Amino acid sequence: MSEPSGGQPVAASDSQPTVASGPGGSIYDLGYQGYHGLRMPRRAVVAALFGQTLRACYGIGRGARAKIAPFALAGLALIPAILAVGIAALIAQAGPAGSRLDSFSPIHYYTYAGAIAVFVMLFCAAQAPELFGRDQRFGVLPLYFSRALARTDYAVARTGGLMVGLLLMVLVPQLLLFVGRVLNAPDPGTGWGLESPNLPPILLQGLLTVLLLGGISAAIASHTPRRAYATAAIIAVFIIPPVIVGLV
Amino acid sequence: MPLISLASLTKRYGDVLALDGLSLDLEPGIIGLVGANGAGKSTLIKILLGLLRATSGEARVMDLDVRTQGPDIGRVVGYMPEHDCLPPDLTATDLVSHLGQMSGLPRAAARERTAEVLRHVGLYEERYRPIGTYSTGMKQRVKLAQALVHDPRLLLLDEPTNGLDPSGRDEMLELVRRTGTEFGIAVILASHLLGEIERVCDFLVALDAGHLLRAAPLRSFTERTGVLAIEVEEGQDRLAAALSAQGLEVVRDARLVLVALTDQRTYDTVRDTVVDLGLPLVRIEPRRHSLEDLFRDKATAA
Repeated sequence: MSEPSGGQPVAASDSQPTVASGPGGSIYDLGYQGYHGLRMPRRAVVAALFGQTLRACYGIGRGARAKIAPFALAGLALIPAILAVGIAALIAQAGPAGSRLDSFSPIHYYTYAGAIAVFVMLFCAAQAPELFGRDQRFGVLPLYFSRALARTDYAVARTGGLMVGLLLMVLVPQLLLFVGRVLNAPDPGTGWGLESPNLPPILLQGLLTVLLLGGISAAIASHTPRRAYATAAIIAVFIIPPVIVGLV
Repeated sequence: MPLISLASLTKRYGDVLALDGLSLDLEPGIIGLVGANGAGKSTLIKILLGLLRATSGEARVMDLDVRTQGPDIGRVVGYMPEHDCLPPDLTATDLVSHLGQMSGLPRAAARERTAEVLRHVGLYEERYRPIGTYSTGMKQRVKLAQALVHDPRLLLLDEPTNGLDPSGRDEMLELVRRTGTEFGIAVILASHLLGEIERVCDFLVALDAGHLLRAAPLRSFTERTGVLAIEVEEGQDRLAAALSAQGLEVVRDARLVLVALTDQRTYDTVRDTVVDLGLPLVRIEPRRHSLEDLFRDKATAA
């Protein structure tokens, strides 16, 4: 915005404030200003909506109450990693006996996704309706679709925002675990050598988890403006199939 | 380049024809879109915005095709919907600046424009409160502000005075008029209230059951329907007969004799005729026919 709206002749000649009064109060009109600055291309608009969605995933940009559920669930998902890093530190102090202790520790990369699965599902059930139902519930969609983005842009930005938000929740604890184990090794070089083969599976598993859970919950949540229905439906879809499989 | 150009635009919902082969070119201005509920006003606006697909025909906004160039149209058009469209838990500032970004403004510019445009519509300290706490009048202003935030070339307003009290209506119409006349933004104002259109618009498009009833400058409506009302205490029949004998279009209406006002000479003819017949004259009054007559005439003709 190199040139704000100052140079507009219409606004300049209209600098005299006009007043319209009514019983409810008065409107002081200081004049409307045009906009002659930069306008962003469509993909920047989609990126802005993606960023807003990612923040909304964690209730950022909403009231304090909107932050409770996502932050609590993400925090719960982080606790096992913090514990495991502590255990790894103890193991490192235990010296050679540590490798045996390590095998008793219940928290490993391969058990992590299972350990936090409940929190990830609850996160989906809580936040997907927030991202996909709100705009329908309050009739905001026409305001988006009449702007500089297409319907598919909206869907891509919203779904992408949810998936990346989930990916953070799934990966941050495991990366913390990874970094903790690398640093607790006798020296970081050997630590990296020992731990780095675990990285690709961690990333791949995280990605698959997010695509599956995020995709299902986005699909369900976008079908109803009613938050409670969407939350219940997502929980049902996540919980019922394993139960049936267990019974059979 | 016309502002809007329609070519046999048709929209069908099942058995109902909402728009029936509408063809029309509109130049920039403040355009009133008038018609009863269900006449096709909202349908037309939504097709122009790309919110609805036409069944057949073509529509272009500023030479952009509504079917293929929706996002490009979205940059230069502002839309104020008829229904509620504001999330109650957001503040006006947050909502309007986010929507400004969605229209292509950079983040900082969107925030700056939001403050200006909310001031323009008359929202000050309230803009930091959640919209859920606003009165209907304030909500309508936020709806107008979000349509203006990106400084569009065309505003599409669907029943902007819905739910407002009389003074709120006046203020909203005044805002719309100022936005259209002083800032050079073309406006299409859809309303079922002819009085509102008459006060604000300079061009009128009348729709009826999906058909184009008429599209013309507002002036031409009031000119062509100019009528002189003559009230005499007696002898209305004689007067009517004498006036029509002189080639004027005459209608009897209870105690009144109504004469079509063709030009200034009509006044002289009427005065002379009344004098010649020696009738007790009460008054002669030019009656500026309101737009309602447009529809009344149509109804009687049908």
